[in-house]
Amino acid sequence: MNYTQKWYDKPISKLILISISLTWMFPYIGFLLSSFREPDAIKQAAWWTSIFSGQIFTEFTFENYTEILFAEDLSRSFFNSFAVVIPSTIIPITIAAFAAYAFAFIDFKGKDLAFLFVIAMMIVPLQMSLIPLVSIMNKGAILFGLPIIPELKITGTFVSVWFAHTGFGLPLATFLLRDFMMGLPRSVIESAKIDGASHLTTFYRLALPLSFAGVAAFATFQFLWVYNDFLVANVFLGINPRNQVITSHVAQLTVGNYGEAWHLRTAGAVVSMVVPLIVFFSLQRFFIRGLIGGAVKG
Amino acid sequence: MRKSLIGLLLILSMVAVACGNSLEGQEVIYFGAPATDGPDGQAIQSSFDQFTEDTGIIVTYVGSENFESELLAQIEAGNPPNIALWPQPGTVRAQAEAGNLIPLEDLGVDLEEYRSNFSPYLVGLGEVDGVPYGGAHAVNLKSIVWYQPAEFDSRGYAIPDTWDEMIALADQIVAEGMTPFCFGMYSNGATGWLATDWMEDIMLRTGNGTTSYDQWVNHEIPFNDPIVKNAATYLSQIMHTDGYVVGGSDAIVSTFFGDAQNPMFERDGNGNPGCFMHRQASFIPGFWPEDAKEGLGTETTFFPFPDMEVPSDTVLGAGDMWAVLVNDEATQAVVDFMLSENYFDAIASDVAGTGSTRISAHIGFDTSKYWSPTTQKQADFLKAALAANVFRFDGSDNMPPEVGSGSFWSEMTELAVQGPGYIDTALDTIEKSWP
Repeated sequence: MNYTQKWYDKPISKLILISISLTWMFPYIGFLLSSFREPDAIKQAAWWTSIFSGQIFTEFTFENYTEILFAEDLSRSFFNSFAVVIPSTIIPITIAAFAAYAFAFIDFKGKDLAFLFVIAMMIVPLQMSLIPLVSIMNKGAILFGLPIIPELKITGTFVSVWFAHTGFGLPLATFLLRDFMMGLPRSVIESAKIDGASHLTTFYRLALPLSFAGVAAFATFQFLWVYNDFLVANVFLGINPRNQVITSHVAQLTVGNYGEAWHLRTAGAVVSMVVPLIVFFSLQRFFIRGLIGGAVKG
Repeated sequence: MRKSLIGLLLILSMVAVACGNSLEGQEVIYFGAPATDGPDGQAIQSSFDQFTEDTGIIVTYVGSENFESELLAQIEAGNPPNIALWPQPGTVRAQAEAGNLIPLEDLGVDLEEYRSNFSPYLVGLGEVDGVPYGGAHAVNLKSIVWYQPAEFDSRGYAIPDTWDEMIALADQIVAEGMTPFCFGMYSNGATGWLATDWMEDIMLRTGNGTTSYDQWVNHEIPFNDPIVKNAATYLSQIMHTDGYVVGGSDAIVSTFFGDAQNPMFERDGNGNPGCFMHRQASFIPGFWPEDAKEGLGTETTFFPFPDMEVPSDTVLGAGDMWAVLVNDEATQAVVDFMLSENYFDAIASDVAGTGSTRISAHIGFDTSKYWSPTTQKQADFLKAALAANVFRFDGSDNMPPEVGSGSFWSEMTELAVQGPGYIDTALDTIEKSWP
């Protein structure tokens, strides 16, 4: 049999890979189990001791979940989350796709410098720019007596979160899509040009449909990140519970008084994981293809 | 015909608007540290139910674990809550100095009345240059030791009135093969605060009592003064005497303060509890296991921290304080209500059903309204101390943050680990870190 064994087919590699996965999953198994245990039981014994002593069956409960799932206004928070996530995914993709096309197929002066600038933006830590950004959105910005950015006073609204997420997502989106478009067969684009297609036609008819996998990959990524985001939403939406997104609502539900409610925390973590898991598993095909496509061909 | 009907409706609606309460439906956001859906958060929200019914002003309490940082972000965002509730008055003063707060006087508060209702000492904690910004809210009692009367009675132990009696009792318990004290001070980033509480309680009862305590907090005597060293030696006696503490002194820094008392509720093979005494503030029952909570006031109750060199009725406590960030008419009405005697009614009688043990800082509050006899007893203590001006606020909260939530915490933790030989180094290090 002329079968060459790949390195990852060897039993020893498999063993290592499986043990890495198990180690990685260990905390997740822990909180999944703990989320079904009674509050006092969690505080008294660790979940592994309760497995070995068989106590896990007697202390099994759905209480933690009912307390969270039937919380007041949870549906409103879900709705708010989607009101944040959907525009925050679509807007950066739209802008980035145009930018990526320009970076990939149009020659203009200072292109490399402009692209370098976009890449450089990826290095700026989000946490550092949060407060300046929020204060600009509120008070505007004045440079040498000239108002460069008007007093928008939009903090505490959904628009401000869309802006923020668009800003934070754009550099990566532009980078990924540009790399993906660079990988498209150049001859196809050139023949379109010879046939007299304008840039806009080329973009809509060729570049965009062909880079669907790249767009889907970034959409998945952005969706997951925005949905899971707690910090940006909290800072820009303010503390009014009407604006609350699901992550901050779950965080709030699971605190107890001062953070002692472990039983709710574990159940809350599981609840908040449901949507990202659905999104990831239904789109992971694109996700992996898109990321690798950009990386290898770029 | 139709036109005139519409016209009539318009006029009617205008009249309705003009006559209606202008504050009806106005929203006031109240932001604090106890989580919205936690027991305390629900209790705070419940205290506004009647108020909302009466005035139509909707007060929404929002609580967050990350209260301090979220509040700063919202101030920067120009979107602050109307009222914020700080766990420490020191932060209220810092915010007032930063110009983010509105003085109570501008909100139409009668300062004379406020001072006499809440004691000048408490009001003074929220003052900057004599201008009060903070509104006193709830207070808690720290100078207490939790114990189980039945366990004391069956062994013939008496409640110790003095430190020496407590030590004698502890020695007796050790001699009988058991452990006298529960002591756990692990608290994530705040580990050490429990030991600072002990130090404060001892400082209030040694040296020159409240006088030297105030000097110490205001740094009018150095941190390595002999009086402070003396106090630290007392504390070390509890922490480092063999057999005094559950799990030995090594366990002190690794035991979560909220779980520290659990041994008291457990019984060993001989039916003996894991410990007999636990010095901890009045809020600790919130951390007890469910079945222990039911025995609050009967199975488990408290005695006052024993007298030491200076016999006194001094009470150590802490409390939270609110302040206003956005001034409007609705907020003024809420402030007026929060300073009134009735504000604590719902919290005290546990309308929310969450077993809140918060105690009103209002001296005129009728303590018989508290649902729990234990809380009632604590409230009586506090009220007497406030009225007699011997209530003292948690000193570390009033020291500069570099010390109060910095070196004082970390050095006390280090002291617990290193043993009595470390006292001098600890105090010298704290003294050096004082800005």
